[in-house]
Amino acid sequence: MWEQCLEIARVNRRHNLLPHIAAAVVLCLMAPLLMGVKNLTEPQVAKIAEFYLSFLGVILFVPLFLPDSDSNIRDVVASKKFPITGVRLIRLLQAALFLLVILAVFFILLKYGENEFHFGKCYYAAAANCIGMGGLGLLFYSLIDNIAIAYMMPFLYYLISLGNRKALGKFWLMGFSNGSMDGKKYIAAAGLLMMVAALLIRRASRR
Amino acid sequence: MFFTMLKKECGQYLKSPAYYIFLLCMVVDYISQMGTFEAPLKPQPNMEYTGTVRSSDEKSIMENALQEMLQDYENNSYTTYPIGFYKQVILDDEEQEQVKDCILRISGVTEQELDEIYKKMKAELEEISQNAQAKGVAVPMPDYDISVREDISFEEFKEELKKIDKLLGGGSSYSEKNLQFCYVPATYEQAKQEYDSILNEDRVTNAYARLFCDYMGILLAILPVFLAVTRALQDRKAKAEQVIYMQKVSSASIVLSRFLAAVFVTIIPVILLSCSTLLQAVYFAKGMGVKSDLLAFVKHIGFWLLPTALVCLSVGFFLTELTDSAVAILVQGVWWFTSLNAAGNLVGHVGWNLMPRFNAVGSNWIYQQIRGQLMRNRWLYTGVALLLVFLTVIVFQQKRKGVFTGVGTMLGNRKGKQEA
Repeated sequence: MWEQCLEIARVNRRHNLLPHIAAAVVLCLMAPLLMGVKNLTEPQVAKIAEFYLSFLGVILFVPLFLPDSDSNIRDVVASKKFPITGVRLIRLLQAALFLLVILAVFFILLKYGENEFHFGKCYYAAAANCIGMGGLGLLFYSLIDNIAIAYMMPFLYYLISLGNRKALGKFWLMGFSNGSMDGKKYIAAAGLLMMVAALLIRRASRR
Repeated sequence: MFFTMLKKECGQYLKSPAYYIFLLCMVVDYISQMGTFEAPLKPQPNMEYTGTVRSSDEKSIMENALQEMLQDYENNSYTTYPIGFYKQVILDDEEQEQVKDCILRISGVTEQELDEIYKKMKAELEEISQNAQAKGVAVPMPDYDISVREDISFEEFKEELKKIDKLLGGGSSYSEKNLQFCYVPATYEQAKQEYDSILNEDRVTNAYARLFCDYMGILLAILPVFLAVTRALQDRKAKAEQVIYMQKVSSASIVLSRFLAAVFVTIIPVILLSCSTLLQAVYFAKGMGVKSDLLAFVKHIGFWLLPTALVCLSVGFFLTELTDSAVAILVQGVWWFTSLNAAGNLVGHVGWNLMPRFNAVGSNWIYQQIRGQLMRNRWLYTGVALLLVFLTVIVFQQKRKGVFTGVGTMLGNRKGKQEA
């Protein structure tokens, strides 16, 4: 069983996840070109976490159902003894693992850049936003089965967060940059719920 | 034949949920940013006016730069644009000392006097903040009580600031290029001139059309890519590619009909949204006895917003056709993010930015100065868009012939072999 899970994870990493991991890493590597990454204070690091790193969640989580978009592949996977929802869950956990590793490496490098910030808080804020935005995209992917819309919805959420703080209340993505961590637990919880809902909807709709 | 295809393609967009999300975004953004019409206020001699005018007076440039440096030094936060994109630079203690030395040299004050100036400013700000809270109004930040040394020449001053610019990695407010002019508070006469310019030169509607383009440009630099990707992946998803390849229609007709339909369904809602502000501006102009320019919004949408939408759509079509994936969203997303952060000056920032900024009603004098830049920028992006459409036709044609199967498919085959 474990061997089978590891094999699924290995194949997924090689055939599906790799370009998305590469895109996420490139986005992180571009950060020093776009913003200061030296001698930052905590609110400044929070800004990077919320305004920039939040997109990592969209890059890594949203394409979860992409390998199944071809009905032939989906039928082959569904015909196997191992449940297709199990395969998707492995993909989801793998994306989450890579997200957490990439974020950890990014913040460790920031620590070495003589920046003064609380590692745990910034890491949590970035991860919560990634889960929230990724979960939203994934939910819409399962509902509409259209990858462009799946990417569009988190963008919309981000745009609303940029322009209208009051409309989102606890779910405002940029709370930590403005001194409040209160909303992060709600964003992360909503993101996780949306991910679970997306898996269930996908299973129920037999797509 | 082509027009029948164009009509059918428009129908395809109208059936897509992505299009309705696009419309929703546009409407929500328009209502939140331009939902209420704020008519320009006529300046009165005793009225406090907060506008600024551009000045190339050397003394004013030096004083402004010193004030900015004092504030940046105090906050240890320096804004720079090293490669044209916004970057905030924070200096370490040693580098901060170098900035402090520069301030001492150009102002001629001692270290103790500088500390006193900061203390005085802090006390002043506390008092202002308390008064502002009591009155419930925002109060402009006062200047530091310090001036540039009398005996320093402009050349000497620029040399000093050049060192700081180098320390910051270039592209700061202290670069030689940015020390050519500054903004100084406008007098009543200048404020009156600005108001008259809105009425007479902009004929009211042109001033609002620029603001409209500023807000809508932000969305048109990202949202159309979702429409393009959705449409380009639609055939693949429906497994209709081979059927389309077999049709007796040229590749150019197929690609162009899709592209032009996308442009049409993107721009029409923008024109419709502009009608509300146009009508209010026309009504205001009529009240002031000014003959407004009724075509102002359509003209601005055509030359300002259309190239942005063209580029965004062409990136979407080209990359999706090339890779058979949604990678265009990522590419356009990164471009959008960097362009949004590139605009340091929200009124009149053009350069080679995908979304030129003009977040003001009026300021016609700034617009006249950037007009040439804006035209070059817009022509460049129109050219880029047309080139990408041309490349899309070639890729489509090669796929049709079976010569090229898409980057995604080719990589997939290579990986398949590896797996085997």
